[in-house]
Amino acid sequence: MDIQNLAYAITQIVHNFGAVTVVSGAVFALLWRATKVQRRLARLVLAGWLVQAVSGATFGAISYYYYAQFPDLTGIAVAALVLKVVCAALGIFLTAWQLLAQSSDSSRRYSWLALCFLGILALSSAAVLRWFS
Amino acid sequence: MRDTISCLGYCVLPIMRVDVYVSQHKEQIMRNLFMLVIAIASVVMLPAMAAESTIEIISPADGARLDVMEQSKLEYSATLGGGADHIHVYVDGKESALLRQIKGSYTMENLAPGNHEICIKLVNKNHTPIGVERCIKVEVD
Repeated sequence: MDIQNLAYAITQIVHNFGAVTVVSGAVFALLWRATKVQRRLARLVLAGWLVQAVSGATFGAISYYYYAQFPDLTGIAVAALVLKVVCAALGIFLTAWQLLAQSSDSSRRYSWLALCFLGILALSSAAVLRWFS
Repeated sequence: MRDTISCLGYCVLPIMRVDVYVSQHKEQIMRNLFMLVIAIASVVMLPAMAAESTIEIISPADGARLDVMEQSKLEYSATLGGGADHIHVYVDGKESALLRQIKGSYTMENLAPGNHEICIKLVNKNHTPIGVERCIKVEVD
């Protein structure tokens, strides 16, 4: 079996589930407003963003392990990658803030809206990154 | 094979009957699952046994002189294997195109007068060069 492709595939599976978590978690948090539920969702979405960041870095690490170089990206693809990294950083920051700070209902709602937007933006950037280089 | 098909047929039965079926046909299911794993592994291993990756620049030839007033076409041919997925084109070390056809041509635009190095590299799905590449030097005047 081609171990390299298997490594990429497993990483892709983890990355995809991370993407599902960050988007669906934020959408559900906008629908269920109970504080207890939202705290659980915040933990879940935080985990999702961390998974996204780690699995994203793993793609680069696999390339480096097998070919001693990182993916060859320029132009649009670099912009998409930077956008994904920014989304992940903001996603981690916002969910951590939700868990640590005692925020009002309205600010929490704005935060979930922002998280929803970041998730969609990161997913869209992933598609661009996949097909451009 | 017939066992596999009959097993798949039973799998769509109402959920209440599944546990009864499983307890009655445990050995048969395990045997079919084993066969399924073997079949999937064979399919996965086939690409690994495929031909080695190769890439060639058909034209222009190495050291060719190109006319600045004419469109310069790069003709290439590649064999994808060993993780290769598509091709990146580089002009003077800068990536200028992504090609998904394994054989074809690419029009290089705005090649300024002077010497240039043109490279084509096979890359994997993650856009990482796999170490198979061809480079030529051309002079544009």
